[in-house]
Amino acid sequence: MHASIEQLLNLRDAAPESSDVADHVNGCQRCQAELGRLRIVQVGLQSLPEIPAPDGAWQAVSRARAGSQSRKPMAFTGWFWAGSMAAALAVAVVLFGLLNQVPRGPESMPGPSMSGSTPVLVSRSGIETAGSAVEADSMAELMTRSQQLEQVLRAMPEGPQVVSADTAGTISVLEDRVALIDYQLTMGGQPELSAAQLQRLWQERVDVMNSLVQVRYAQAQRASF
Amino acid sequence: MSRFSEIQIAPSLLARAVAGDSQAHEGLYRAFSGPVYTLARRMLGQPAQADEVLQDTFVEVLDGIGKFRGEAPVSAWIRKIAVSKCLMHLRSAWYRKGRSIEGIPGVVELVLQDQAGTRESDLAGVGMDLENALARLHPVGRAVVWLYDVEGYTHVEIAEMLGKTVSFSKSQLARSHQRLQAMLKPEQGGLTCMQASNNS
Repeated sequence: MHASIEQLLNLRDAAPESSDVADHVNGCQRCQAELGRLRIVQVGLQSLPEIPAPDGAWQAVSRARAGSQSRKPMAFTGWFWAGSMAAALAVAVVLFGLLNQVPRGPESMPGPSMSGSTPVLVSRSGIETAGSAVEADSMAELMTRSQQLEQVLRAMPEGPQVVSADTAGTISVLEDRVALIDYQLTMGGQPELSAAQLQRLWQERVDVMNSLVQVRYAQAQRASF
Repeated sequence: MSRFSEIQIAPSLLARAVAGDSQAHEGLYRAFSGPVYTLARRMLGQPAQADEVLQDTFVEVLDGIGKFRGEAPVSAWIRKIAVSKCLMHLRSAWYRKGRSIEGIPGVVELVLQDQAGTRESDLAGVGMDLENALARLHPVGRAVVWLYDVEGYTHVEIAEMLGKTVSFSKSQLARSHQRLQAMLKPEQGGLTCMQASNNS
């Protein structure tokens, strides 16, 4: 029985390996050749040429740093953790307060019914969205809710220095969607966007902002514990 | 040997960088951008992802250099950040989704086969150089090969970074080398001892 690759790698790297295997490899031409190839591959990998960084990458780093200066993440000190816990608590209170101001129905807001709105609820596990998109929301109400969600986001603590790629990716996608909707809305003054289209865009903005608040809230909670 | 360890930074340059001197920051970037980018390209395979890792790494390095105390070599610190960024990409669902789309030209089918579990013998006859063979490995296996064989990390360190066991790291290394062997020497028969016994 010949040595396995794992056993040969152990021998290549002078890692512990049984004397039986070492004896076999010493006397086996085939395993010796295999071991030699493993050494050649390792040297080959180490000798692969360096790939220079693309032109303009330094400028991109400088721009990214300039952009991040205004929301520089906090250091992971004891104060950070204590502060985060306090901040998360404060955020929960602020969320509750702000979102309770959001007009939720005909009893609190004159005009069309908001029976199918997407209220954000603070729960033990974070924030829950009840219901989905609402057709009945008036444009003004949607704009108000969108502004309030912006306030909620601004009231949240900065994200932690290290986040999972999934969370970072989700936040990035949601922010991109908001940016895209904003771009479409700025074109809304053009005659080609109907009132229905505008309303749909504002509704989408509220929904996406809602999702963003939930992700950021969950992130703030994780940083606190 | 890791290129990071070959780079010597003058203490005066490092001191200026720690003090916030922007020219020294650029000096650090010039010294380490190649190794960071090479690491990211070899671990992730995709230029767009490597660009991101390069940028994210240096944003973190330069934002944090003011707190650098010199307890470890600056090269080790930068490499650790770069590796961490690469692993974040590997763990990302976005990376896994995009892998088959932004692969090496002409190997999309191979990559798709790989995802479904290609046998090494299927690759017999595909002669290629080491760089291409490395690029065709499964991303996690490729990362383990690079971290272990080139950067010199131990299996214990790799397992810790990946959140896996030492056995996982070892088996990834072995399987990846098995695949590399099969891709690199088809003209010599292309079968290792293990493959010979598996295929018989």
